[in-house]
Amino acid sequence: MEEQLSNLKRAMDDTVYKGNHFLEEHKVKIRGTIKHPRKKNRLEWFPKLLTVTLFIGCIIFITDITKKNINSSDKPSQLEQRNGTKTEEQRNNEDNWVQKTAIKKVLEQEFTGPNEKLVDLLWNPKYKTVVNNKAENQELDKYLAEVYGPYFADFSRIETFIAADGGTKYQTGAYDNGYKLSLKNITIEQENISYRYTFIAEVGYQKNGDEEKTASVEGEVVFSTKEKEEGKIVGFQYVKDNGLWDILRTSN
Amino acid sequence: MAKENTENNHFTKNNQDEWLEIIMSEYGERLNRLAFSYLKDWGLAQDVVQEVFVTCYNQYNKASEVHYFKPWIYRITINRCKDMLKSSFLKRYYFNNNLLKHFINKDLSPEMRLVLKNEKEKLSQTVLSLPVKYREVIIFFYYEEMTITEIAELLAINENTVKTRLKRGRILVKKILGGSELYGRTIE
Repeated sequence: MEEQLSNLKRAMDDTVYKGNHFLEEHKVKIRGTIKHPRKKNRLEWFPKLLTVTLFIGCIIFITDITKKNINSSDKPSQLEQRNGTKTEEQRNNEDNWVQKTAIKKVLEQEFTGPNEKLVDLLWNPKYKTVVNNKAENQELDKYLAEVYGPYFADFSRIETFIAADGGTKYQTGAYDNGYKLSLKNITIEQENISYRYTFIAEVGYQKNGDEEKTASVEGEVVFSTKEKEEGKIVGFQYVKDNGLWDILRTSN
Repeated sequence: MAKENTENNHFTKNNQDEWLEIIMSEYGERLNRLAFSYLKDWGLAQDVVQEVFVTCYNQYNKASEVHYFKPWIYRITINRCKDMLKSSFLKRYYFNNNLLKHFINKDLSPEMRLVLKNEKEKLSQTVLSLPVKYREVIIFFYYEEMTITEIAELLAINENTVKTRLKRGRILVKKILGGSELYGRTIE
């Protein structure tokens, strides 16, 4: 091996290094480069400029294509229309969910109990005060706002519900005559007019350990059409109770 | 490395242009071969040598203070070659004729095959096929006939490192040549 390598000079000179590789033309080139150094510089920046230009061109081209794609995706196509409907449906479902929850919560307040706290606030004279010749019950108002506030558009709607539309009447009736109320089932349906709903509540009532009976209470609910009050009740009334109210208010 | 007194005279006797002519005549071919041993491409080697001479010319004043001109100009060439080897893949493979070489090598003519069978060619190609760190010490030691100390100085590495690389380089050459000999025998 050593012997072979010691012949490396001859071997390379005869093979890979064979011939003269540094000719007069190379000398001329070197002289030229030395005398005109700028010439080389001019050539040096050209490929760089070309690369940079191409790169920028590519970026602009890609950006343009992307923009076009975005614009074309803005135009309604069948697929997107379908998607649009779907989103609207989903939104509708969400709305329904909000409205149905509101109705369910109000019905739960009405047909679970009796709620002794509510009845106490309603009937106990100690909560009543007279301000400017007007009877007020701040504790009751506070309680009602707390319980119904999240579901009604404003407090006046709650007042109307309690005073005129029979809100809490089943509670007081049950309390007065010793009935226990429980909510069995609720069916809520949206009417043709999107902000109106009807409900049927299956209410169980029981007295003195007797067998529990059920009655269905029907009613209707109107929701606000104002954007700010979306999903809030503006009207809530019982339409039909299949005699439940009469049963609860009689002592026998 | 032997002191080359004659070289120092170039700086004092001649002006810059004449000095360039002298060093080109004296070192042109040697540097070209040196660069080729690194780059394995005559085109690139010529480019490197051109740059080296331009650098020398521009650093005429500095060069005139150099006592050992040969190691100085060798070092510039080696560094430039290594820079080029480190440069981007694209530059090495797409902007020189290496790419062409790959195609040519795949389709060797029968004459070329005969040439490759030549022992000298085999040895040269084997040395050139070694990794740079072994290739350079083998070439400096056996081709340039430098001493271990000179190689260590030139490459700015430890003498023991030079020895180790030489040893490993020899083992590699032996391994490659051994394989090819065996191959040759079975053919014959």
